[in-house]
Order: sequence, then C-alpha cells, then structure tokens
Amino acid sequence: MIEYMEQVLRSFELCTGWSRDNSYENITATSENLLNFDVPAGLKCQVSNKSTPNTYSTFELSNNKLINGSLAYLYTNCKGLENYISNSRDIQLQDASETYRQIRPLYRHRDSKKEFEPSSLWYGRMYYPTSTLEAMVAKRLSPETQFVAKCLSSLAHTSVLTLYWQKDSGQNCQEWIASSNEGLVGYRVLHNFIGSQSKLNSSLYNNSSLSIGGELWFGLMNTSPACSTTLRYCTHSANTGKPLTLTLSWNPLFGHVSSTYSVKASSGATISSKYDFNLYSIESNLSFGCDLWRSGNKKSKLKAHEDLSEAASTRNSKYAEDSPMFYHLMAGSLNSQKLLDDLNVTFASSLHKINKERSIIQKFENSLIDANFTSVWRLSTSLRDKNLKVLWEGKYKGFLISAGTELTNGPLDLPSNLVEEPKSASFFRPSKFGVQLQYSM
Amino acid sequence: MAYLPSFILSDESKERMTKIFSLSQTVAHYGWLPFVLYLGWAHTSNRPNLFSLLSPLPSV
Repeated sequence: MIEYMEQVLRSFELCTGWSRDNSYENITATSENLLNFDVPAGLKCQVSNKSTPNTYSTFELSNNKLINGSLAYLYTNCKGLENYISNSRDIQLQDASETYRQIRPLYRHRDSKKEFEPSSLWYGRMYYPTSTLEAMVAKRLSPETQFVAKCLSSLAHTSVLTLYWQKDSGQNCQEWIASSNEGLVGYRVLHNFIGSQSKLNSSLYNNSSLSIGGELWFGLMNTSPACSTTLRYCTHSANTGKPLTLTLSWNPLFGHVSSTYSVKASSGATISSKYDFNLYSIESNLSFGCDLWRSGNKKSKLKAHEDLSEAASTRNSKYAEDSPMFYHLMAGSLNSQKLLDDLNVTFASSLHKINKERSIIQKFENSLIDANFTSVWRLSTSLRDKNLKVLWEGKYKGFLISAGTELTNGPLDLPSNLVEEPKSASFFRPSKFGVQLQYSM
Repeated sequence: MAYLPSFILSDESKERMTKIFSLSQTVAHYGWLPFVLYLGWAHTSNRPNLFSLLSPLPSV
C-alpha cells in the first residue's frame, strides 16, 4: 500500500507535470511492484490528515517487538494539489496500491507543460524513540527541471545527504546525483525513441514506447565504480487492448542479466515473471508474481458511483490530458490533427483502423476505472530463494488495510546465497507477518 | 583534517569548528519539523491555530 505522504508526493509530481515513469530509477517499476512488494511486519497504524490546503500530516504507530512511532509534516505551495489527493474512503484501490505502471507515450509530456508555476514541497518525519529525522525538499524550477534534496539525519549515527538534479525534456531524462554517503556521485539517463506508425499491422496507430537507459556511479571515498543499463518496451495488444511491458537489464561489472515480462492479462489479473542470470557464476533465478483483483458487488458499486461522482470528476479532469494518451500518432509533428484532417479522405481505411484500435484500448482502460476494486490478492515466489509472499490489500469502512506474510524454506538469518541446499524437504514457515491500517481524511 | 599542516588550524580552532558543526546539526535536526510547520502556517491565508496544524488526527 502506498503511504499517504508518498501519495502526496506523487500528486505533487502529477500536479506539476513531472512524469514519474520517465526516469531510469523507475524503469523496472512494474516488475518490482509485482515481484518485490513489501510485506508489513508487525502491526502498523497510520492516521493522516490534511490540516490546511497546503499542509499534510501523518501519525504512525507500529508494534514490531518494540513500540515505534513517527510524526510527519509536509508543506507545499503547489496550487490545486488538493484536487489530486483523495482520502482513504474515496481513493480507488488501484491508485492506493503499487501495481502495474501504465507507461504513457512520449508526446504527452509536451501538453503538460503549458501552464507551469515554480513550486516546492517541504517534508519532515521524526521517528521515535530513535529521534531519526527524515527530511526532503523538492523544487520544480522550470517545466523541465526538478531539484530534490533528501536527508537522513541521526545524532547517534552518520547522517546522509543526497542531492538530485533532474532534467526531463520528454525524450531524454537526465539525473545528476551526489550523496555524502561514501562520496557517491552518479549520473542516470533515460532516452525514449520517438515512435512512428506501426509497421506490423499497416495502421498509422501506434501506442508502444521503447526506452533505453543507463546509470553510472562512482564512490569518491572508496574509488569504486558501478553501472547498469536497461531496455524497456511497453505496448498494448492490438486485439484485446491489454498492456504489456518487457524489460532487459544488464550490469556489465557483475555480469548480471535480468529480463522481465509483465502483462495485465485481464482487468482483474496481472502477471509478471523475471529471469535473472549471472554470466560469471552461472547462477540463475526465476521469479513469478501475480495480482488478483476483486470487484465489489453491484449494490456497493452503485453506491460507490454516487459517492465517487465528485472524486471521479476530479479524476477525469486530472487525466483530461491523458484522454488521448493511447494514440501516439505522428509524434514528431505538432499539428498532427490538422494533418489527419487533410489525410482523412486519402487514408480513410487506415484512419478507421486507428479509431477501432484506439477504442479497444480505451475500453480496456475504462473497464479498469469502472471496476470498483475492493480488494487484491498479491502472490510472489522465487525458485532460488524458495519463498512465497502473500499480501492482501483492501478497503474496509474507509480504512485501507494490507495484511501479508512471507513464507520461506531456508534458515531465516542467512542471506539466500549462503543457504545450503536443505538435506530433507521441510515445510514453509512464516518469517514475516504483519497488518497495516491506514486512515486519512 | 590530519593531513593538513598544523599551522593552518590549531587544535583549539579545530575543536571549536567541530562544536559549531555539531551544534548546527542539532539545531537543524530538531528545528526542521517546526520550520516545515511554520511554512505551512505562514502561507495559509486564515492562519490556523497551532493545535489544528500540529494534530495529525482529523478534526471533527
């Protein structure tokens, strides 16, 4: 479940026209969400509140062997942010849960930068009883740039300050990063290839997106470098409109290759698989994950529709610019609509095909929004680690609840690569169990 | 600091600098949340009272 403050941060990015998915950091977000989701440990309760249109607060209590707590405050001067944030009663479950990320084609970035005002976000969270402070400042300086400073301050241990300078021109997203931890400096880049008409099905319509990215890191204190590169391809099935994502990652220094395939098999199911292979040690791993979504019954659906009418209208206005998101048509030309009108007579059959394919994809997308999901079961397993993660997330009387467990077969205190093959087959036993409750106004 | 020649910084000034550094870190550490709250208070037009700003619990 996405925490309230994280939701506010994502809404801030959405409100200021910053694309979260157009970043190398999140290039494999879909498969990470489906395979490596977090299982809560112990009991955790969170209460969040929007005290003024500009300030947000969260109070958290958790009981994991010890009673811990945290208090978080956030201030932002972004105008209209309150329209993007829903409370825990009205929020759609697919927005509150980390799940399949729909990658928008490149042309959309141009539209979202028409009205830009510099805005900033200030955030602080104090953990008790350790008195560790988590602080963050995010500043949108221009339509293409963002500056982020994150700090983890502790009086007893070493503090870490990390600075990010990000520049996203739509086609390229570059990030320069400096961290006080080991004097780490890094550079990340993501490049989107501009799509053209689909060559496979003789249609002008194309909603796929191909991106390639890489990162370079260097630790000044320990003079150790690191790098990796990733290719991502997202598209929709032409016949059914179902989205799918493929990624291929390579780490040249460690010889690690990883490939993922994720698909929304139906409006209520998402499947992801990942294959890891190391060229040097010839070790491999195969992971599977799936999400099974359950819709509410018709009665509650109707009621929810009434309740959500306002929220839905906000959401529609929020995604107003997204409405033509799936036709990635002649992305190179700005006056594509005019050009389309001129070509209307000449290519009548092709244009008819565009509308047909676009409507299939939009129909699938609308079925997700209208589904009124009330709960989701999430399962993930990995053959090498011999573990099974089960997580249930759902809404109950205005609360967002997530409960889960992790079952494992190996010794609990050793990392998976040190675990010897068990001599006799033993049963899975829970290594982690937890329930998390979230309520926000 | 050990590799610097001793005539650049005396031990006392080194100690003083360490003290100033740790003091400023402590101030920033405990002052950050009040600072974020102050920003929220100062930029809200009707100047909400402190309790409603501090309380994370939803106001009735």
